[in-house]
Formats: sequence, structure tokens, C-alpha cells
Amino acid sequence: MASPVKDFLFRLFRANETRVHELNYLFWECTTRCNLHCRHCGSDCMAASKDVDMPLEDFLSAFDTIPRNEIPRGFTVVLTGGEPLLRPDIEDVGRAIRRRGAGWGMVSNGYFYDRDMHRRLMGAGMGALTISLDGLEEEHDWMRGRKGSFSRAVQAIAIAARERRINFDVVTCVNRRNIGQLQSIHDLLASLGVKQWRIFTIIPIGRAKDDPDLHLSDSEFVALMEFIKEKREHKESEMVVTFSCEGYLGKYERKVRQNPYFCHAGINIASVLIDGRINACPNIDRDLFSQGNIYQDNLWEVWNTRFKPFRDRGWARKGKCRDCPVFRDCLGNGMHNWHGDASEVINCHWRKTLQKSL
Amino acid sequence: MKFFRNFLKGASLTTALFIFQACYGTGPDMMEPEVAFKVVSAQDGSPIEDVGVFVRASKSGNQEWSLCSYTNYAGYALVPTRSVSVPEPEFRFADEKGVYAVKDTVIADYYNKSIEIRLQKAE
Repeated sequence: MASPVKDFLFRLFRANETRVHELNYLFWECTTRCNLHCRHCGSDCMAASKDVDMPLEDFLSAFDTIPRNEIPRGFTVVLTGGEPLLRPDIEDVGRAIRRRGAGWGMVSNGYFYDRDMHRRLMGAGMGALTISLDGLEEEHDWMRGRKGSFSRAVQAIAIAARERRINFDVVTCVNRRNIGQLQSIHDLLASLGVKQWRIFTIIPIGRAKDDPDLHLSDSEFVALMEFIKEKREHKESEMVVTFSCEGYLGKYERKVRQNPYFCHAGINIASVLIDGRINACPNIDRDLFSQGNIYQDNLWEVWNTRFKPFRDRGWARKGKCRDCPVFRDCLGNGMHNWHGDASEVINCHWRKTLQKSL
Repeated sequence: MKFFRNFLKGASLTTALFIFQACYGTGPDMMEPEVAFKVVSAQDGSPIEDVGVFVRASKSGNQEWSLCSYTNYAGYALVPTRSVSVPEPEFRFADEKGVYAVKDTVIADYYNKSIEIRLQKAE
């Protein structure tokens, strides 16, 4: 089918999804404590966070506002942080979610993920897992701020990759120090039996904002697109390489990931943040876009009656997006690319793709 | 709108459109139900609630028990496809309250079936 027809049909699909806005993906920022000190952390997490972990009962009270018949197949609660494995009640959390007919998964740095932890999490019904690997040993440990974190992450990946009953992938934040290692990281992950490798870039928020080592130049970004495209066209292993759905990519759409760009934040995705605020993805500006708070509001009502900025993106037609020729496909890029006073999108993937590769 | 959505979701060529992953989250935990269990008391046939249904490969592959589901008030538990994608899966039925004894059983023919499991009282 010709691309303009496909694009047209996809816009119809996206508009319908927006109107229906089925909630089927719920982040829970269950802790902001972390054992690492990552340079790119959007949460500014630290070992002794000022926020106490949200009690499980508080989260469940919010979750229980969702009627059982509104929990579709595949509804997934994603535990994020901080490092979720620092919660001592992680198994109770998993079982409580399963008991409510939902699945659950977790984003982890893998440091505490050993054989015993794996067994315990499987026993608590974990169905999806993402572990971060941000380079070979020196670069990963540099990025994560702790020596030895690479070997722990690799150990975790080796355990999880053998498990066929979880939807498992590895994510890599590509930056200026590891972009030259992509082939080596690819080969390492393939040798560990990983089936899905997801790559993303770093947006300038949190600690990452003022660190030039973390941000690719436009030509490096194009080189990254070419790398992923080449890996998808000429598969060297069983592993599927994908670019995350972080922004609209113009000519690279459908070439570096399965589906066209679609920011599902606020359309299918909500989050309960550490302080109870209700938002979409946790990396979206909290002061600007939070829609309520579970300690004052009913989560299900908030989902159904608010989230307007996520479902009508007309407000994003400003700054460089005002007269942009691809706005109807991009809609102002991912919601996490609007911060501060939201006068301008902070990251335009499409413009980067117009540059020549290195 | 919902009709259009359900129609698209049911068409095999477009199912993938509905599967997404938040930029910084995990993939979905797809729990397509394939096998339905009804767990009842061996003594009087009454349904048992809050029985954890676990699965593992009985012969090969990973040997960890993984929790799939819990029975509801009517004793029913749906177990997703992903969980049983191993040859001859072994199932475990464990009553959270400890009133009934744990039962382990290998079930070869489970696809799209509804299977009754009878639990004995714990001694």
C-alpha cells in the first residue's frame, strides 16, 4: 500500500484511539530511592530520596477505582522508580496486581536481579521486564555512576533472556560516549540470547540537562537511525532492534520500529507518581501536565474527565511547531519533550533526521 | 468508535497496532487467556477463591514456578497463553489461606479448554 494511504489510515486509527482513550498501561513510580547515580536520570533519584516509598495500599486504593470490566487484556502496571527492587514488598505488590486481573512489569537497572530474585518475581507473576545497559563496561559504569554495575546488569540480562514467560527487553540510552560501541553492544546482547533491544536517546531534563556528553549531534542521531535501519533490514541474529517511540522521525518512520510514531501518553498511558500526582509517563513535566492527585481525586474519574492536553494537541502549534509541515503526523512530538513554560518543544527528532549522517 | 476499534483489534493484520511500549517503560504483559480452570473443593464441589495458579515447564526449559492468576469468587482462573507456551506444562494450585492442600499436575491437553481442579483439605 502506498505510503500516503497508509499515513492517512494511521491518522484515522490514531484519532479513534484518542477518542476511545482506553487505559491499558499504568506506571507506578513506587520509589525514588536508587542504588545508582545515573548521569541521565530524569528523576534526579538518589539513595536517600526525600520522598518515602508510596505504601502499596495507597496505590491499590487508586487502582481499585478502575472498574474490573474496564481492565482489558494486556493491562499492564509498570513499576518504575528509582529502582523498584529496593522495595522490600515487591512480591506483595506483584501478587496484589495479579489478583486484580492485571499484568505487571518492571524497569530495573538489574543490579539486584540475581537468580533468587528472578525466582521470586516469577512467583509473584511478573510478565514484563526491561533492564538497562548503556554501553560496554567502562561506559556503562560511567553512565550509571557505580563500578561493577555493568557486570551486574549483564548477569541480570543473562538470567532474564532465558525466561520465555516474560516480555523482556534491554534498553540502551545512546550518547556521545557509547555511539561508537553499538555493534559491540549488539553482539554482546545477541550472545546472551536477548530477543529485543530498544534504543533511545536522552532528553535534556533532570541531571542530563547540562551534560554535553549525553546528547548526540544531529549527524550522530542520523547515524544512529541508519544503524537501526540496517540492523532491521539485514538481521544478523534473532534479536530485533527498535528505536523507542520517543518522537516523530519523518523518513525513518516504519524503518526503525514496527509501528509509526504515536505518543500514547494520556491516551492509553497514565501514571501514579511518588507523591500521588496523576500524570501520563513519569518523564513528562509534572508541574505542567499532572492532572490530579490520588490523595484528593478519583483516578478513574481523572482519566475519563481530564487529560485534555494529551488528547487535543492543538496547543502545541507554537514555536517551531507553528508552521511545521509534518505537524499533523507529529503533533508536537512526544509529550515528554515539553517542559518549563512549554513555549517551545525542547527536542525535534524530525529536524535531526534532515541532517546528513557522519 | 469502540466498534471500529474492536473490529480493527480483531483483524489479524492490524493487531500489532494496538501493542505499544511507553518510551521508557516495559513492553505489555500480554495475557491472552487460553486455558480456564475452575477450582473446587473435592469434598463438596464448592468453588474456592484466592487459589494461586502457577505454571512451569515439566520437562525442559526453565524450572521456576511462575504465578499466572488467582481464582475469583466463583473458583475461576484464566491462564494466559504466554504462561503455558512450554510442552506439557505443570500447574500448581496453591490456596493462599492454606485450607486446601497444594496440588501439582501436568496437563498436556489444555488448549482452549475449561478444566476442573479438585482440591483436598489440608491435613
